[in-house]
Amino acid sequence: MPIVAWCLAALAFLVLLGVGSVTIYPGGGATREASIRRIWDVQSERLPPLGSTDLTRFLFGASVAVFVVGSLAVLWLALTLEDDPARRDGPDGRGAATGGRSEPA
Amino acid sequence: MARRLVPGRRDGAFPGRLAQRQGFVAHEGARHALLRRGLPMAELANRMPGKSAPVASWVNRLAIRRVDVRAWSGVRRLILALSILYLAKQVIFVFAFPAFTGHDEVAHYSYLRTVATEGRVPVLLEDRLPPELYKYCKFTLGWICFQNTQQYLDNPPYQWPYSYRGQNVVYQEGYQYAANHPPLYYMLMAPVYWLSDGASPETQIYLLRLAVIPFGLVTVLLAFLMARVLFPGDAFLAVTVPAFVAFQTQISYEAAMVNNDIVAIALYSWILYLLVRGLRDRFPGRICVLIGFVLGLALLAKGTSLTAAPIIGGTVILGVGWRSWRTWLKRGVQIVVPAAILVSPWYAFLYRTYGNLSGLPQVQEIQWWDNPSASFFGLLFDRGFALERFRETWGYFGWKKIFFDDAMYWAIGIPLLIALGGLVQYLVVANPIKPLNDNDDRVERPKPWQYGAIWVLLGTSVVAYLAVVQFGVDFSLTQARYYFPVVNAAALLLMLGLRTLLPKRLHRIGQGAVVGALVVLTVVILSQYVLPYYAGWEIGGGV
Repeated sequence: MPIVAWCLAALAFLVLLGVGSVTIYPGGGATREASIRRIWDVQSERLPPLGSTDLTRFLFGASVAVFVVGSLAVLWLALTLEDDPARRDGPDGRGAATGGRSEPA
Repeated sequence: MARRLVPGRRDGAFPGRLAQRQGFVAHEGARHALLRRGLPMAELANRMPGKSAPVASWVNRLAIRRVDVRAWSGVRRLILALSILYLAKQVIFVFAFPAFTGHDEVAHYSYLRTVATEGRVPVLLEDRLPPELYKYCKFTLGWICFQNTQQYLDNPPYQWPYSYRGQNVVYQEGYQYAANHPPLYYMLMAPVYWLSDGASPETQIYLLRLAVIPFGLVTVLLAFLMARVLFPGDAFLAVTVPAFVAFQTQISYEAAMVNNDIVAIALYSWILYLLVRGLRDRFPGRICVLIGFVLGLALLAKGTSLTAAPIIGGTVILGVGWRSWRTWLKRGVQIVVPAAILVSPWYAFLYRTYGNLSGLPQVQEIQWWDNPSASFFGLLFDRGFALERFRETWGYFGWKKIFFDDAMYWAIGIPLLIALGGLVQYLVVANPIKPLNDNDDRVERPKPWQYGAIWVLLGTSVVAYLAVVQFGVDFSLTQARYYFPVVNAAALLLMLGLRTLLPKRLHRIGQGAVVGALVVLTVVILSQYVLPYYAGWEIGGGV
């Protein structure tokens, strides 16, 4: 199925993007792991003490995870969504004259 | 309510306290037994022994229904997923930027503190920014900044001698320069301030940033609803318009900072949605009253919402027909009255306090160093001015300290120029007069009201840009964010242009490509610009 191929390609692209972004992170030739750790540490230090540090790390980390999964989900749904023929004829704009309903076919 | 708990009674007669209690207990037991079997609530209500219509209604009202997302339509699932993705992205934005680095966050936080602790609106040329926030002086206007000097951190300067135009003058420093903004946002945020009272200002900033995310989400949902009202069955616009708004970089930034902008953006988006509905339904009275109500709220959120007023007037006349002057006068009254009732106390306050209806002369007095010299048409045709607004629209994060490379601006600008070209083609080719064939594309062959709505959205965008130009005549600090409230109009127009250029068979791929590109843009901006910029950042650092 072409759509599946497109989704797989999109997934691969996102993974490559994530890895690539971190790899070329302008941290002065740092390795990928060091770059990830650096981003994490910098953010963790800056997070406010909303009760406990663990809570804020969880909030930030969970958001990153949801962002990755959510991006793929939205991408999948966007690639598979088709026009709705039942709704293509909206109201005709004559307002009260038609009660705001669709014009007759 | 108690009478409805009694089984088998449809006449509403009250049979006595004991019978009522027995009936209630019996029903509660049966309800829990059915719940354990995992039946849907509607079915559960129908299967209850001795059921009656009032009981079923009561159960249906009070029970928490199980939401079956799998039964939803594709577009509803997409919007749900986009909303969750948006919320996650916004939380990342909230924490990616250090406290007080957003647009005028020091001034807006100080305004909120005045509202929350003193129960009043601050006054220009009287109120000052709090001394404990002097360490963030480089994120303010008009507060001479020695952020690395302990002497001034301990005792912030509130006046300073300058040599200006050949004269030695002592100028006042550290004024509250955002006090001309209306109070709605600060009133809405006051409970968050009270709940976090006792926490550090930095912690409060993060909590207040989280609190404005819903306004960003509302803006995204209104973009979707507007696209759906305008072209009900079209998938491309239903996907790409809200996605564009959700991932637009600076709108995302606005919805993750302490600032009244995103509230004004959400309310302006609501007005645009209502205008499109009004065009479709010929502005019935209830929509007009609602438009007036929302316009009043928008004016209480930010003064720039005033650009909506001529747009509303023109659209109503377009919708009901300019010859029907009695009708549009009546509609005008229905809009103006609720708006005027809402905003009149604020404008009365402005007039009584400053002797004008904007407070801008007082802002000019505070920003004495800002001396713009360009004329309206000089700015309108100034290429540098337009380019600067484009850069502000997509980049310039962190108090205009994080810049993109030119390549990045081109990567954003070229697709937008292509989409703009597609929009021009659409406006020229789309023919709302010719009768429809069954196979015609309903977007490319709009009905007259749809075509009119496109022009209204275009006019809205133009008026918003011209307002920014006009503001630049008096203030060289004019900024692109003053036209951000029309983001939903711009998103729909650009995506409509892109759709026009894509063959029908490529629409689904185009939808995915737009969403993918926007996700990529967000990842690149955060990983290549924002996070690296703040990697070695300290409040008193040089960056």
